[in-house]
Amino acid sequence: MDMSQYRDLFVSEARGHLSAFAELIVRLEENSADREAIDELFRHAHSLKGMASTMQFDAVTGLAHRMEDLLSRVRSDEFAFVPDLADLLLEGSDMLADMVSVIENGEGVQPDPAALMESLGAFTPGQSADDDKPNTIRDSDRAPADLPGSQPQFRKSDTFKSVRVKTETLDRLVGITGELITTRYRLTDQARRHAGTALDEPLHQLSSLLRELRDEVFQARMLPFVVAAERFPRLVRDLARKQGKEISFQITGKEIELDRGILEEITEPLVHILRNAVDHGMETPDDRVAAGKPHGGSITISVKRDKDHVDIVVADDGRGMDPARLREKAIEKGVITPGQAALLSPQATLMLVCAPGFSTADQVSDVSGRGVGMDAVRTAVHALGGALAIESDIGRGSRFILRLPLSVSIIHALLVNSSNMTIAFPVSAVSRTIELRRSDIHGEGDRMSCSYEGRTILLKSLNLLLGQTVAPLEDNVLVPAVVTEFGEVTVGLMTDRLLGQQEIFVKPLGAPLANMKILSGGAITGDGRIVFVVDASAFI
Amino acid sequence: MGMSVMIIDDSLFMRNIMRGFMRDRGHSVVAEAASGIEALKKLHEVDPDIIVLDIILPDINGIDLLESILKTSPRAKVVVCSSLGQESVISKALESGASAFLQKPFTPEKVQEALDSLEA
Repeated sequence: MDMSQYRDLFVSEARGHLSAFAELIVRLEENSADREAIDELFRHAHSLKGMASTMQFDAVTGLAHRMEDLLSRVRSDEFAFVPDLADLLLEGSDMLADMVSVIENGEGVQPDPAALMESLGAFTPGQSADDDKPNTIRDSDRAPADLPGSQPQFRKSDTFKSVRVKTETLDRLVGITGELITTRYRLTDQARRHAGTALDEPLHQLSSLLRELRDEVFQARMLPFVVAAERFPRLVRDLARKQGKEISFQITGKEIELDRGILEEITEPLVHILRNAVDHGMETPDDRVAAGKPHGGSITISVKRDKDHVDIVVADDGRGMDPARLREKAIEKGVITPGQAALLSPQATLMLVCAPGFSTADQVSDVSGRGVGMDAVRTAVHALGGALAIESDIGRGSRFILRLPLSVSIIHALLVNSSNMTIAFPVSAVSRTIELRRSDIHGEGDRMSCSYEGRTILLKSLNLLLGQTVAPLEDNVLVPAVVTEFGEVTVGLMTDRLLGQQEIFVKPLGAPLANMKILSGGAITGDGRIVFVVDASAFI
Repeated sequence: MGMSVMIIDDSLFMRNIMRGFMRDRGHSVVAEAASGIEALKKLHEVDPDIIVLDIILPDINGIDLLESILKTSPRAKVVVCSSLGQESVISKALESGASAFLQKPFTPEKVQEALDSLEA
């Protein structure tokens, strides 16, 4: 019998078991008496063992078997779920994951589980544990779970309600839908010109069907936040343990859905923020107690959806950031001059951590502080048309707020005219629009400024930035400008005319336009005009 | 002669393998279920000759489910499956009315053996 036809299914199902396994272990560390979690852990190990033995993957079978045995001892109350046990089981699930990867790739060396299997087999709790008080749960404390007549616990099974679709297929569907929307705009335009009102009814119908299609297609691309966050609890746990910190980690809004592409782009930045929170934000238990705070700290991620955006907030109750220290550091590193530092608002000061080459860690640990920094986080958020904000109270903790659009490819945009080109700004990147008289504008060329909300902001000419010639400003003409604000910097971009807001279908640009840093994509309007979408943060 | 079979296992992987074995032997798989609830629901629609039941399911205790199945489909013969280490549950299942026991890992031979024992 040829079993290789079942390999892919084995790999994907094994992965499912392993990720659920790791999540359950972290859950058990928060509440070691969680009976249901122990049963589920056991079941995952057991299922994986059965699957692997059927495929004759002996190493996987053997290791999973040892883990199952150990869990059945916990299940029968031989001992409680202690942290040492969690470490050992996580080590086991990591090795199993490696084995599954080797199986998937059909190449590579299988890790040798012998030593780990021995530790699993020989595990005795309390050997390194510092307490010998009985942790075991007594039978009388809980209802017997296995007796007939006890309430069965139902869980939803959605196995047959969904199918797997390749992500490329979804991307193509979005592409086709976008083209259809553009074509409908054009059709409407032509119909008005040549057919009068005869086509109004079917066109109206077409529009509403297309709206529905767009919504459905986008819905199909949505994934719950938990898909990205699956490994976060484990990450925080491992980092905290390594540094001797005590952290309880919570995620709320796991079920909130985001576009797959956005989720993909935002995962690494979130990992970075979490690492920072554990590494730099959180104090050691001793320091916390000395500061009059609870022994253990807390880090939370909360996801909330609004009408047209999603907010992801990473908050910790650690030491917070000291603006005075940030300013000193920034001057020391040459990021800003002392003169500039004196002018920074508190919010702008916090955003200094996003400046390239800035790090507040006293010493660089192996945990964070290398590789991607907060500047990469900010860049990633902006590239998605989102915004990043930071709040912090000394001694009380910090909050990183990522505001993201719901979709990257169909966005609300502010269209403006500049040198006969139509330029689109994602609405999420625009603070507001203003109209300026010649007398409001100080200086000229690339040294223009104006006053805005009581402070002086830099003005730039969009024409100039796009490499076009600029007519001299006339005295009695109002110049419309788009104000875009990113952390510490606020810039007004002067345009020729504001055209209004519209929903546009953004497509990536091909070479050589794709090489232009300020352009993030292109779109076509109903009358066939090409619109360039700009990444406003690139102007700063 | 081919018989009608229902497979109850929460693992799609395991169901696929079992389905393959059954088809190779000329039996037709008339229903599959990934949970106890789903199984009980489907048993109102089909009346299989043989039910292959994984004793460890996410929702309902295997023995409880076995008893419900025997009530719903008294005609069906139930083959309970499990991996090593579940001997006590297996013997309980056999006491409760299961007709045969099949230990994972499945091989075509083992499946055949279990089916043969039903005939006897």
